[in-house]
This record gives sequence, C-alpha cells and structure tokens, in this order.
Amino acid sequence: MKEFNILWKSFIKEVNTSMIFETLFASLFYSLFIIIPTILIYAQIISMYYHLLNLWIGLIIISVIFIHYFQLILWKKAIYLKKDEVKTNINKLFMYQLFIDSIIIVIIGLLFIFIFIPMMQI
Amino acid sequence: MKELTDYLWPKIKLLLVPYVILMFLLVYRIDFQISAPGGITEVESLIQVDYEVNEIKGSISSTYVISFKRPTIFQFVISDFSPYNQVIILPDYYAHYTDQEIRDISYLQKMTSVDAAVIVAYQNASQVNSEIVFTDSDVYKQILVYGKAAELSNYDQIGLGDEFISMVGVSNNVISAEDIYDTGLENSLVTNMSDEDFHEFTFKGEVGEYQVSLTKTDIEENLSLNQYLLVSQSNIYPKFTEKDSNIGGPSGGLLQTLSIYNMLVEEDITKGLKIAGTGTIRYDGSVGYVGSIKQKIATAYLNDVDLFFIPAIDERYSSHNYLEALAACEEFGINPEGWLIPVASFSEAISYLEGIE
Repeated sequence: MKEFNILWKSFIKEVNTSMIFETLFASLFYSLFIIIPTILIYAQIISMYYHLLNLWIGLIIISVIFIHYFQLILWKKAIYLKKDEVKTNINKLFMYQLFIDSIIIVIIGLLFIFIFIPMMQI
Repeated sequence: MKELTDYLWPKIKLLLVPYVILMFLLVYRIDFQISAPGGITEVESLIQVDYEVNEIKGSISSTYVISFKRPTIFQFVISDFSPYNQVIILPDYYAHYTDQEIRDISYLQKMTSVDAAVIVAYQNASQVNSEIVFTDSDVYKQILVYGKAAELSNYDQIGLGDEFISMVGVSNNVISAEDIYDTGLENSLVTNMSDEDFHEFTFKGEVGEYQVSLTKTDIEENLSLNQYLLVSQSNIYPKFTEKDSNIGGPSGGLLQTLSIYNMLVEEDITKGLKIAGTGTIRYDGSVGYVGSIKQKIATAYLNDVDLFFIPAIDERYSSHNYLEALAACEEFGINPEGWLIPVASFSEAISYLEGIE
C-alpha cells in the first residue's frame, strides 16, 4: 500500500493533474463502447435465465474486472500518447490499482449475492 | 482524447459494422412472449397478519415465472438454449398494450387476488378459530377496468384498474355501480345505451373522478369491466398488511390463501414442509387455471420444494394444468407421486395437508 501511494504521488508530480483527468475521461469514454453492450447482454441473459442469477453475478464480477483492466490499458495508452517519457512505473501502479479495485468489486458482488438479492426477492 | 481517438480509429472502423449489428440485436424488439423459470416467494414475506400463532416450521410459497413480452432478437435467440423456456407469439389481446399497461394489468390481478385470498382464508379460519372476526360486511364490491381494446374510444383517458362509478343512460337516467351489482353488466349498461350515441361515463382513477364518452360497441367489445370483492379492514380481526412487491399476476391466489389461513389458526398446516404451488383462488374457494405451468414446475424443481399444488382437472377447459404439469414432470425427470398434488379447491388443499403424518 505504501509503494502504491508513493507511485501515485510520483505519477501526479510527473504527469500533471489536468492531463491525468483528460486521459482518464478519454479511456472511460471508449470503455463505454464495451460497457453499454455488456450491460444489455447481462440484463437480457438474466431475464431469460433468472434461476441462475448467482452464476450471472459471478460472471458480472469477472466481466467488470476485465472491463476495468481494459480501461486501465486505454488510460495508460492515452498517457503515453500525450507524453512519451514517463519515469513512474505506470504498469506497476495500474496493477496495484486493478488489484485494489477488484477487491472492492468482489465485495460489492458478494453483497448482492448474499444480502441485496435475497432482500429483493419478494 | 484526440490522440486516443486517432490511435483507436482504424480499429473502430473495422468493428463499426459488427458493433451496430450487435446493438441492433440487443435493442430491436419483436412481438413474441417468452416464459422462463423465476423463483418462489414465501407468502409470509409479502402478507403479514398481526396475530400470534405457534411457530410455523415449514413454509408456503407462491411460484412466479419471468414472463417477457416483446423480447429483443438477442433474448429470443438465447431463450432457445434452455429446456425450461417457452416462446410463443404475443397474444392478440396484449399486442397493443404498452409495457406500463401490461404492468398495470399484472398489478390489478395481484391486488384483487390478495383480497380474494384474504376473504377465503378469513372466512375459513373464522370457522375453526372463534377469535377471528370477519363478516360479509367487511367485504365491498367494486367494478374495475381490467382490459381495453385498441379500438376503444378515448383509449388514453381510461386507466387500467380505474373504478366504474356511473353512466348516463339513453333517457338521461343514471346507472350507478350499485345497479350493476344487482342486475349484471349486460342488463344494466348495454340495455340503457343507444346504438349510435356516445354516453357519458364516470370513472375514478389515481387523479380522482373523470368523465369520458363511450359507445355501446365500446362496452360490448372494447372495454372489459369486472366486478371484484375487496376487503375493508376497519372491523376485521386480526389486521393484515401487504408489502409492495414487483411480482404481479393472480396465480399465487391458492398459496396466498393457505399461508394467510396458516397465520390465523393454531395448528401449523405446513407440518415442516416446504410447500409451493400455483392456481388462482375464487371467492367460493375453488381453484382456477393458470399459465406457464412448465416453467412453474421447473422453478419448483430448481428450488427443491417438498410438494407442489396444482389446479385439478376442470372439465370446463380444453387443456388442463394438471396434465401439462405431469408432462413437465416427465420431461424434467420428477416423480410426481406425492409431490404434484392436484386440488380443485382451498378445502381440498387443507384436507390433503391435514392428512399428512
């Protein structure tokens, strides 16, 4: 966690905040082209195979992690396209970021499986 | 943004056509109806009675299916991969309804079926438990709109579930809802309407009372009015509460009745079993037919229920729920002996449960 913070500080120092946000929004924008059909596909599969809901939640967790990974790749690419030489190890920084976000995604998914969905099934 | 766009543009150009096709498959809707297994819902979680009884060891659940009207092409294709799903052409009487109107019909059916369940359960429970207070005066009648054809005059003004209040007849006489209770819809409305003229009707909806002009043809062919018995809670004991639910339709009637009854009597009729089933309940306690039997059997099977109530064969119909259920049991490898229980009435279901050791 300490190394993750150090990497972020160094990254912010090296690549200014406006560039970080600009590249982040660009990566989010292009990720939407995958997110929108994915949401539609899952919503429609769940409506047809509702009895396998927990399986779909499991697959949604995996898909969200993969989409997030894709978005981080786009973000990294956008940064390198703006600035060729970045000394901070972005690969390592984003892997840490993916790991932390994945844990959060898994926790939210499990909350749905064990708490929210049983609550909604009335 | 520009740099990333320039970088991705060759790939986007390559994927554009397949992407547009995919999105079309995901958004374009076709006139079919798909039924798929849903789940079971413990009635106790929906309807609660404020009355202390011994611990209920088992459970009584209604069975719901997912009924998807106007699926997308993608849904239509993927639904074919499951033996539990069924695809049919959207019935004509649903074809002109919007999604909201279909939800309104479903909600109306659910609301009126809960009242029917309460009436039957309280009436039967009051015969075995003297503490239960429920008389005929706790029931009142209402005539509600439960269907409308696309040809109906002033279609948008009349809401599904709205209450009929009165009509101005051919000789300016006012026909009220009470007149219909006594003489029937045909006798009281149609005979007091002229063939050509519009008549003024008063309905009561969410926004209060409103007037609308309708013809004799509208009443005969385009507007479906039905008389319902509803429960007034002011004098009954114990009181009950109904929670909001996103599950609609009348097919949980029998199981709702059994569960409410079980909350009003000393003996636990579940005997520790996980009970589910399907079937509407009529005010006289008889059980009516329902749709999507195959999907309901699949749902019960996937949820490991101990016994499943189904409407018994009724000679008035041409296709029978019980025979459909037997066919579904054979298809899914379920032994129906002692699991699939056909019942014609609420009292038959109670007798069966009382006979379980």
